[in-house]
Formats: sequence, C-alpha cells, structure tokens
Amino acid sequence: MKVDSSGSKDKWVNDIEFGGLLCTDCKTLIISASDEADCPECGSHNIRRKKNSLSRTWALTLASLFLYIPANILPIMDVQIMGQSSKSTILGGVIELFNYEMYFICIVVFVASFVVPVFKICSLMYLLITVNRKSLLNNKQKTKLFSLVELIGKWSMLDVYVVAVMAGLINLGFLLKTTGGYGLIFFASVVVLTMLASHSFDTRLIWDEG
Amino acid sequence: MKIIPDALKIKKRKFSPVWITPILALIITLWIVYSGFIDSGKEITIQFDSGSNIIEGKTLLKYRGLTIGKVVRFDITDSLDKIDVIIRLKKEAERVATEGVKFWIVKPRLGLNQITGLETIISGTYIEMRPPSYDKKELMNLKEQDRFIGLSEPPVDMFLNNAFPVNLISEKDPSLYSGMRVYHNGIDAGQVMSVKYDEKAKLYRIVTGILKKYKKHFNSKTKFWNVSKFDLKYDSAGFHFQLDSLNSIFQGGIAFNSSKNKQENKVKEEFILHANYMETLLSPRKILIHMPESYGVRPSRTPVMFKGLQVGLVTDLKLSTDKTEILTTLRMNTKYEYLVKERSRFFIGRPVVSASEVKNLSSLVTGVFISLEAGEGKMVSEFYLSEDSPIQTPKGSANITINAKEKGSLGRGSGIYYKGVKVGVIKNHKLQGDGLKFFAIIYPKYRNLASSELFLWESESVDIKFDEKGLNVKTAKISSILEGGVTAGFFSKNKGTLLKKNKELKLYSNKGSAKQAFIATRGIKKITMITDDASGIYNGAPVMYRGIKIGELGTHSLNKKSGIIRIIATIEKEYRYLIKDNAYFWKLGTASVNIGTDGLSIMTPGIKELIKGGVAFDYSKTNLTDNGSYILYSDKKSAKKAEKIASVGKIIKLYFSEIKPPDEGIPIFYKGMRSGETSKVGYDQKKKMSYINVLIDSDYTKTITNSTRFWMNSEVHVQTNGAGFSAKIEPVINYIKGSLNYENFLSSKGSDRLYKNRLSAEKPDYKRATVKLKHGHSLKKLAPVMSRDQKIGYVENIEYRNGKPQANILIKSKFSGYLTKGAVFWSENLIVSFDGVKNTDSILFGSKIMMLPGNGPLLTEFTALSEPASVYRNAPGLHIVLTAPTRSSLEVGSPVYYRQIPTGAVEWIKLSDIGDEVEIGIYVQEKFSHLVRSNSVFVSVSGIDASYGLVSGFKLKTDSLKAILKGGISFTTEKKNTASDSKNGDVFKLTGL
Repeated sequence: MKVDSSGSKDKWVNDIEFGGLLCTDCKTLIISASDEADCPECGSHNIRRKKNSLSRTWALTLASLFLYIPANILPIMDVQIMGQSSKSTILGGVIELFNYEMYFICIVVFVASFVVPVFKICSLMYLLITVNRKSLLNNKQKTKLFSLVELIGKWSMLDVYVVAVMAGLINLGFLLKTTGGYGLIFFASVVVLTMLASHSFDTRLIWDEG
Repeated sequence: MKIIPDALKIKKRKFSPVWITPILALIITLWIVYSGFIDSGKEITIQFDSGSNIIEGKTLLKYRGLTIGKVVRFDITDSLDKIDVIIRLKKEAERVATEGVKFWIVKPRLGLNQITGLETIISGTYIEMRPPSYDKKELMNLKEQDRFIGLSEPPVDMFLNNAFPVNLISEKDPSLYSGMRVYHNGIDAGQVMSVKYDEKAKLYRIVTGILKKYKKHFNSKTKFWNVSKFDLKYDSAGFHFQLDSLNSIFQGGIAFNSSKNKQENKVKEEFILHANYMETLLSPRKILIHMPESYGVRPSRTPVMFKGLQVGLVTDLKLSTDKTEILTTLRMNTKYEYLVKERSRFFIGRPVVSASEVKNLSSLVTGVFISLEAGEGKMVSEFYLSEDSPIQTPKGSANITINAKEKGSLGRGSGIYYKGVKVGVIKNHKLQGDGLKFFAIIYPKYRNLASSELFLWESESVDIKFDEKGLNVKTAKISSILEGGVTAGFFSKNKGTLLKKNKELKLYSNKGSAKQAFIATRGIKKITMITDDASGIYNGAPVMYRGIKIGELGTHSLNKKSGIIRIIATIEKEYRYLIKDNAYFWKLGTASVNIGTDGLSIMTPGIKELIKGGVAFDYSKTNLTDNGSYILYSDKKSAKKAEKIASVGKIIKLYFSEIKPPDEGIPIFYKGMRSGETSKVGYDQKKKMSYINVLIDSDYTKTITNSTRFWMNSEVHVQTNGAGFSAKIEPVINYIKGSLNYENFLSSKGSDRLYKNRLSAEKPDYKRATVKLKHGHSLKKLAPVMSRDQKIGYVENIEYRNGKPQANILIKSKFSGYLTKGAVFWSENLIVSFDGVKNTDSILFGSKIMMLPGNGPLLTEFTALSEPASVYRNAPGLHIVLTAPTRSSLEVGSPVYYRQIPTGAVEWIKLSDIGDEVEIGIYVQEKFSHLVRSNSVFVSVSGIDASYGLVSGFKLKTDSLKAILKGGISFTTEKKNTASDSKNGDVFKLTGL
C-alpha cells in the first residue's frame, strides 16, 4: 500500500518519488538514497528495481505458454489395468469426471489444472503489456491482480501431486498400475515457469511512470 | 525527482539468457506436435456388423499383441445395418493395410489350449487383424487398401501345407464351426475347415484338415465322432466326463480313432461323423421299437441297458405316421447285438417309486433308459415296448403253472409270497379255455416249496387278527396290495412231494377257500349249523371252545324257502371229539349282562371275539340238534336259555296282580339255593291277570309240591321278634332285578299265585278273626298277635265298623285252636314295671294284640278287653278273690306264697263294685289248689315286714327280695282236713300283717 504523501486521494506516489525503496518482502518503505538497501524490518536485501524484470518475465511467460500446449495434448496419467493402458489428458480427465457426474472433483480439477494456469499466464501477459500504460485497471487493481497470481500460483501443482501420489499408491504391478504421463512433466514445467515468471516481475514497475 | 540516473541504467535493454527458455519451450512444443502428426499413420475404415464394446479413442487395433492402431471414431453406414470403424494406424504399421487383410473383433474365448482375449474382459475388446499371407513376395504384390470388411468370427487357419482334407458327413447339426480342433487320442491333429449344409442330400458336410502325419492311421474303419458338446454326465454313480481330451470340454471338436487294421490304409471319401463316441461303437443295424409315448427318451442320449450295462443307444425318435405311437430307433453295440432276438423284450427304465421298491431312481438323474431282457429266437429288428419291468429269472428257478378263474390284480411281476417272503414271481399269463393260466417261477432258493401240498391264493390285503397280544392289523406288503400278489402256504404238516412238471396248481380266491379245498382232501370234521341270522358270521371265523380255537366257519348258504341259514364249520381233527350231539352253539361278538347268584357279571367273550366274531359252544343236558344240524344261537344268553328250557324240570304258571311284574330271567331260590329262573311274562285274558312262567331246574322239581307258594323277594324284610328286630336284606343282585323265592306251606290254597312277599304268601294258611276294639290302641297294621310270648299271628288291618275299631287278625293255622270261645284279647303297650321294661318293640311298632286262648267252640269274632287279661286266666288251678281295704303294694303278677314257696300270683286287682274295698284276684296253681281251704288265711307280705312282739320280741321278717320290692300274698291253712276245699270264685279276706 502506497502512502498518500500529499493527502489527496487521487494522487499516488511511488517509492522512488517518495525517496526510498520498498521492501519486496514485507512492503516496508525503506528511506534510502542508494539503489540497494537492507530492509530494517525483515533484513532482506532489496534492490531499487529488479534487473531486466520485464524481459525475464516475458521470456518465462512465453515459455510456459508454449509448454502449455504439450501439457494439454500429452497424457498426464496412464492407468494400466492388466497391462492395458488407459491414458488421459487433463481436459480428457475433466470430461471423464464430468461424464461420471463427479461434478465437485471435476470443478476442482478443472479450476486447479486448467483455469489457474491459463489465468496466470493471461494475467502475467496482461500485466506485462500494460505496465507503464494506461489500461482498464488502475495501478492498485493491477497490484492486487498480481498478488492474486502469486497466491494461486502454487495451487496449480495440485494435479501434479495427485498424479504423483496415485503413482506411488496405486501400483499392483501387472494388474493395476498408475504412472505419470509426459504431459505431467510439461504441466509441472508450466506451473514452475509461471511461478518463476511471477517472481521475476517487479510490481513496483507498475507504479513507475512512463 | 524525475531523474534517477541509476534507474535508467537498469532499464537498458540487453539480451537476457532467460530468453533461451521460451525458445526451448517453443522448440519442444513444436517438435511434439510435429512428431505426433508425423507418427500417426493413415486412417482405414473397417466395416463391422456390430460395434459392440468398441470405444472411440480407446479400442485398439492389434497385430500379434502389438498395438498398431487405434479407433478414432466410427460411423454408421447409410444403410444403417453396419458400422464403419475408422482406425488410425501407426505410422510404422501403415503397410499392413493391404487387400486381403482380415479384421475381426476379439472377444474373450475360452479354450483349454488357448485362452484368448481374456484381457478383453477387463480392458474391453480390441480389433485383431491377420494378413492374407506371410510370404514376403506375395505381400509385396498386394495392393494397398483403406476400406475393409470386418469378420464377425475369427478366421480359420487356412494353412494346409502340412495337412490333407478329410470329408465328414453328419445327418444332424454337428454344432461345429470352422477352427475347431480335430483330436486323435487327445492330441490336436487338425481342425475343422468348413461346415456346410447340403440341401440336396440333407446332410451336413464338414471338411477337416488333418495333419499329414496322421494319414497312416486312416482306413475304412476309422470313426469320427463329435466331442463338441459339453458332455458331462451325472448319474447315480457320480459325475463323469465322457470325452477324449480334456480341452474338448470347452473347445469342442471332432475326435477320430485309428483302427487296428493296418493293411488297408486309405482315406475314405466320406466318413460319418458320429454324434458321440458311444455311437461309433454301435452296429449299423437299426432296431425299431414301437412305444406308446416317448417317456422322455432322447435320441443319442438314452442308453439301452442290459443288467446295468450299456449295450446300445437310442439313435432316433419319431412319431409314427398314424400319430398313435412313437417309433424309437436304437442301435446295439456291435458286440452285444446278439442279445436282441425274437423273444427279447424292451422296457422303459423310469424311476419307479412303487410300494415294493424304489427302482431306477438313478434314472431321475441320468434320465430314462431302455432296458433289455435278452431272449432267444430269430434276429428281429422290430419290437413293441413291454409294459412292465423286466423280470430276472435266476438260474435254477422252478417253473410253475397256476390255474385261475380270472386275472384279478395279478399280472406280470406279481410276487408269490410264502410267509411274507417273496419266493417267486408271475412272469406271464395267458387265457385258456374259460380260465387263465399264470406262468410263474419259484426262485431257486425256494424251489422246494413247489410241492404238491402247496396251496396258492390271492393275497389278502388286510388281515385283521386278534390274539392274546391284542389287535393286529396285518396288511400285506403295500406292494402286493397295489400290485396284487399270490400267497403260498401249506395247510398240512408234511410238505408233500415236489411238483411234477405237468402238474398245475390252482389259485384260490382267498385263504378260506384254499383251506376248504384242503379240508376237502383231509379228514376234518365238518358240521352244519343252522341259524336265522348270519350277521357277524363270515368265512374263517373261529369256532371256540372254552377260549380255544378248535375250528373255523366255512361257507354259509341261505335256504330260500325256510329262510334258514346253513353254515358249514370245520373242526380240526384233534378236536373233533369235542363235537357231541348235545352241543349247542352261539355267536360270539355280543356282550351279555348276566345276573346270577354270584352277582352281576358282564359276559364279554373277550375283545377279540367281540370284534372277530366266531362261534362258541357248550353242552346241554339234552340233545339240541335239529336233524343233525346244530343250532346256532344269537348269543350265549339265548343259548343258555334254550339249554335251560331243554333242561327244565317243571314249568309253573304263576298269576299275579297289583304287583310290579318281575323280569324275565330272574333267579328263583329255594331255601337260598338257586333252583330256576323266571321265563315268559304274559297276560291271561281269561283270568284277567298277568302271569309269569317259572322254570324249575329238574334237580329241584321235587321241591315243588301243591302247596308251594312263590313270592317276590325284592324288599327289605324287617322282622321283629323277641330277639329284637332284624332287617333281612337279600343279595344286592336281587334288588336290581329281584328274585323269586318259594317254600312249601301247609295248604295247597293259592299256590298258583305269585305273592308280593313272604308274608302275603303265608296268608292263605292263616286263620282269620276279628277283634272288636274299645279304641284304636295305637294298633298298626302287621302288629303282632301274641299269645304267651309267642307270635301266633298279626294284624292284617284295622278297620272301623259302626264307628268302632275292629282289628282283622290272621292267626297261624297251627294256632287256630286258640280262637275258641273264652279266648280273650287285649292290646298292650309299653309297660314299665319292677319286672323290667316290657314290650320295647311296641315303641317302634306300636301296640300289639295279646290273647289268651279259650277252650270253647271255635269262634271268629271276639271283643277285646279294656285291660290286660290275667296270664292265668284260663289256666287250670284255683281262681279266688281276696278283699282288702287297700291295694297295698300289690301288683298284677305279685306272687302268692305258701310257706314261702310261690304257688301262684295276683291275677288282677280292681275296686269292688261299690268301691268299699279292693278286690284282688289270685291264681293258685293246680297242684297247690288243695292247699286253699275255706279256713285259709291270706296275708299281704308286701314291703319290709318288721314286727315287734312282746313274746317274740323284735322280729324282722323278710320274705324274698322280690316280695320285699314287689309285695306279695302269703297264705296259711291250718288243719287242712278240717276245712272244705275252696272253689273258684271263693272270696277271702286279705289281712294285713
């Protein structure tokens, strides 16, 4: 939260304008003239602005976007019953759950495995595009959006965990065996890349003008 | 604060190595997408009849276990009768899509030597393919194709490089399909190539491919049979498989055997395919059996059994053209063919749950079978099914022929029973003349029974016997009730000689007639009885003598004219002496209540006779036969009665009125002895009186005289006499029915009457008299008339005449002399005196009449005295009168002493007519009367006589104690000779002392 220095509600100032730098971890405003400073509150090392933040974020977001395609095409799970494998992709699994009328799990899986990564990628791209530009959302909303992206980022690993647990538990050899598919690797990569991307994004840039 | 130089520096764009990541990701993605596209081969379309279990995107196309494609989607053909399955082949498998490739849907198939498609149970079906050839060159020449027609069944192996074709024919549907195996000794030796139906020949033609190495096993005798059916048998012996190779259970197929004949080694053009192995053993000769119905016989399933051995098989079953019967074709095992000859019989073996046995129960499980009884004769191939079950004829059985009037329930299979043991069986019967002949066998074990003394009769189903052990309802074996049977038995003790071959036995309808026939040949006594009611009499009922059966009743016949029934009875030899002319018979089975002197006895002949009936007999004193026939009485009572009538000594007719008529048959006693009984009760119109006949036993005839009188003896007799009273009670039995007594009295008067009681019986002997009474004197009827303490009669009744009571008295005849002039009567009540209490009985019975006899002429009318007359009134002796101023203590009966010896008594005491003195009448016994003289002095000595005299001094003089208490009179006579004798009525003075 930024400090309204002038007292006017419409006027926002960033940390640089305020003459300091904001701790990225605890959001403490460090009054320091130098580009680097240790946070007096949490002790983390802060740089005034992350280096190549936008470029790195762009690269990682695009990479996750690309990998999201094989993550959805390739099967993420392979259930082998009597040596007969039954592979399913993410959306295939969602549809299957829907067909089985297991709507709650269907929605959970759908949200965690499909909506969240797509939302993250889209949000990041939106933020990257609209940084330093006028946009539909004001800076405060954008910051909130970013917080949301960071918050839900880790939940996308749900799918991966599910498959990992199933592969460990459901293993009766020839009779019944569950293994992860290649899609899972790509999916995990997508999640990791989006997390890295969001990490490399410096929210303070939102507030930097032009 | 606009210019921040450091910040601007940072913003300077540079190529960051992080951009390698998206590039790499892009490359990977592109490669994956590309490779996926490249990898997927071309699509082919296969047309199937049914797409069951084919799942889009799941169902795979496999070749030799490898997945070479996947169903992408499917369509339904325009004609809607088939489906098109579109399969994307894998890239490397694209070349399999050539012409001639066969596709089929794999479903689970179970076979012992191959379990295929088992995985499809779980994973679902898949599509399998097979190329037309495995020859590389051939395959190279095949054109590519992307549209195929799928097979509905897996294709047959068509590789006949090392096989040769064998043709089989079958009349029936062999249930085979191509691909099934052909076995030789259980080893796979080939397979069925094709199965076709030849419309023309109406045959199934099967082409098989047999491996060439088996060719040497073939010759004309090689047999092929179908093992395609799941041929599991279950019968009474348990489960067993009928197959040649275990895997044929599941897979089915054809088996063939090789013949031993090795010389001829060629493959016939056509072999017959037998339905099963059993059929291959069968002779080609067909035997036709006419059956009324099918009985569940099934072609190629129902066996022909001979002594439990399968010797043939039913091969065909059809309805005859006239629809009346089933024509069953069967074929015998080649080696047992000889069993079927002209006299063979065929039976149906079905479960028989009959009374005699539970038979062929195994056929419940195994189904029916046809049973064969071997016979001799020509070879015949047409038979009629025999109705009954086969009869085993053990070796050494004795054949007997039985003559019978009619067949009855007997027939083939009916047993011959001896003492309940089945000793033989009827095999056959035939009509002959107006009779019937049964041909039977006696089992070898019992063949000794087939003797000349053997009697045969139809088994009786129920035999109710009573013996000392109780009721015994013996039913014959239920089987013999239902099936009928013959009972064999011996009546004589010796078993006779063995039956000769041409001798025939006769069949009797029951044991009775058999026995009669036996009796006819033996010296058993036969007697005839006659009766008018044959109820309860039946053939075979026993003749009992004192509880022992000595014979039997035989037949009985009714004489139409007389209505008399004649019964023939047979008496066993050892008892024949018992039958005498004086025997009389009665029917048993009726209970009689008999009342005799010994009390009530209910005579039941024993429960067995009660139910079983029969006759018993006893002897009478006289001959009771009627023209040599014995009379059969309805019960013992009437028999006894008849016997009694026969033995009666005297019959007396007694008339009675005003009394309850006695019952018939009640006993008559004479002095406590039973001497007869009453008989008929009737009414005499003439005399207008009822009468009863009494029968007096001959032993007692002499007790009857013309003065005999009978009386009823049914009341309590209370007799009073000097000893008090006694109630005489007759035996209890007499109260129930009463009894009659009789006694001989004095006069013959009234001896034709029956009296109410003894008293009235005595009446005719009594003398009648009338006593006029002053007053009633509390006299009652039957009050005794006493004379000198002796009962001489009684009061018959008291009647009033002219207002005065008058007692009619009856005096026993021997005392009739008392009733003379001068006799006095008075009545007496209870008297209490110093002498004692007198007439106590009068408390109970009222007063009695006392009398003293007179001595004049006989009189019948008297007047009673108002007071008791002196006891000495008419006694001989002296009766004199004393006069005294007072009565003193004198009483009637006070003694009169002479020198202290009692010589008389005070007779009476009364006041004189004018009342100035007391007159005392005294009586002096005759022997003392001379002592009383005119100068006699009478002194009263009553009381204690204490006197005091000057001369004598004090003198206490006591008389006897009685005199002291009672008082008395003493007299003295001085100078006896000087005074004259005193006479009766003389008066003296009584002086006090």
